[in-house]
Amino acid sequence: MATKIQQLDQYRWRIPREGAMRTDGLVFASPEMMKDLRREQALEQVCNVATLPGIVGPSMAMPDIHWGYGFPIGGVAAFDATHGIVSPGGVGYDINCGVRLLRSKLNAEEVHPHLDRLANALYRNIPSGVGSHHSDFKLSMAEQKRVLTKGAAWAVAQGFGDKNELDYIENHGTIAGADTEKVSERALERGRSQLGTLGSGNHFLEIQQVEAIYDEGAAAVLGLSQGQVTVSIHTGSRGLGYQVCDDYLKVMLKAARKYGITLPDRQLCCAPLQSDEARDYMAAMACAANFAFANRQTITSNVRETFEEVLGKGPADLHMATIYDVCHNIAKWEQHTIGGRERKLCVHRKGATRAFPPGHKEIPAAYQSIGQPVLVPGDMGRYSYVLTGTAGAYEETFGSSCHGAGRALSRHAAKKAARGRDIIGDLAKQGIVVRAAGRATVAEEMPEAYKDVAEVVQVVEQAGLGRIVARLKPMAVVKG
Amino acid sequence: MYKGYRLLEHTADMGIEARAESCLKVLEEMARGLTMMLFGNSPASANVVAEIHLREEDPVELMVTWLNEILYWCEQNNLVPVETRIDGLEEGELLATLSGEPFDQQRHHVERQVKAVTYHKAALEEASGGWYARVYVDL
Repeated sequence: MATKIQQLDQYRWRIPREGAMRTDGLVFASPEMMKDLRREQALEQVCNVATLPGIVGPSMAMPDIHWGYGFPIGGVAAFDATHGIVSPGGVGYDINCGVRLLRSKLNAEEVHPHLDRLANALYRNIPSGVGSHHSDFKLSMAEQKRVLTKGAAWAVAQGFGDKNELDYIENHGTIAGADTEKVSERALERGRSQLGTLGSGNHFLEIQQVEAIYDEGAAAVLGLSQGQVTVSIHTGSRGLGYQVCDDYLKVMLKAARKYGITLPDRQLCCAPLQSDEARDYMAAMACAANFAFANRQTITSNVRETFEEVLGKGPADLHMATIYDVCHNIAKWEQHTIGGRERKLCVHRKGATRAFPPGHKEIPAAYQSIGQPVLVPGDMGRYSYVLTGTAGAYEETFGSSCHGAGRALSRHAAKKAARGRDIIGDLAKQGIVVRAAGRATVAEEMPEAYKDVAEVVQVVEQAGLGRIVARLKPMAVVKG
Repeated sequence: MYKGYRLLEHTADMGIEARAESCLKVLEEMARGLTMMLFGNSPASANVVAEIHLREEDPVELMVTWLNEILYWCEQNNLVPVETRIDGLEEGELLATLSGEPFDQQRHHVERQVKAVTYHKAALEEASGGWYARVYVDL
């Protein structure tokens, strides 16, 4: 499909409303990125989202936009509470896939001699790979239901972390409105032994060092300094979330027919927010999101113990504290001011991060002066970034920003490019230790498979959707 | 017309398309494509057998449900399928036998994780004197 695109300024591109679209599309990208985007189907997906009932503002895409399924990856769309819809495809299968960043009192020099042992121990202690399960967390039905309603708070109550840590998780690690009666037996079954596991694909656990600081003030507030060791955890709701999504796609396909909603793509199936189908999905989605928060919380505890075990240091020596934990696949009820009027909206972020500004009541008291941390992983060979949310993002994108680098190569192209190369060996020469469960994963996830995340965050900052605070360089990577 | 399946390019994910002489056969080909995507050419014997019974009114939705059912068996029951045979297909009802063996790290390798088979651009239709099917998966 040839999509009409108008360049508004250096980083904003408007797709004018036409046909069944109810609103414009708005894409944040550099001219170079737009050249690539015109060759794939992500822009068509921005237009498809614009056809959904009750959409408020434009159908948006962040600079890491790429072709997804249903919504584009990097898609942000808000829907009116009365006339709008919720779409499980706009959240995705990995409900509340997200990133957590931990700081430490360690510096790169002292950790470097132990990197191999640390990577081995993390790989051993935190199950990863396809269908990975955790024998320590095989939950009873009653316990699992508590995980689904309480999220990270359940994990903290079990001793996996400190209560104060909850303040540094989006929504304090618990999405309200979770109802386990709305989650299928099969979804519960798939999640029962997967708590505390990383999974596969693009999920990872990474030991990093702070390589550059761009905003000294914000970095100081976040407790980040040059050469300091950090740890990033990227995972989500595992099989439980995939099953919740799949179950409710079936419900929504029927609901779309029932409510007469025309779908440009079945994956965009949805139901009016005021319907029973939508209420049930939101309650089940909250359960899966809470499972993901609990998952990242238990992994955090496991990371701390692993560092203590390998380095022979106590918690006070390591001081591994959560800087922040963000969701990047979610639909949430939020209040936003539209045309001077406060409105309740259901904001879908599919491969996009909430990026609330300084002074917002939903961000931690300690970060009120700098805004919400936005954690943007890159690839395993280059770097990741820490940004903060801005008033610009709050006004223009419902307080949303990018979530990663976005893929540059398809899986097949990446494998082809990796043929005959020793990717793990090449990374080792750069001083990056890699441990991976899957043979194909390393090739498909090689650094060149991703766009340069530096270009993505530059567009974010130039467009006023975030402020760059720090750059983190990988030291060791555990992949599923 | 070629018969069989092939894996499709996608920026972040992958797809499967297949052609065969009948609707039943094209759904079997799609299952073979999914198995290849998951386990490559891992050898397997048929010492575990699962009977599958699915019902969906819409043919495309039945196809997606069929493929997600195979994924469930692979992930939850650690099955490496060797044969995905459809025994009956009529009026929105699919009866199948899934046979294979439990995953064994010494014998099998995992090509990649598939989170789910999606409805994005999913197709199941008569074409060129046979049947054509397509899905994209979330990786």
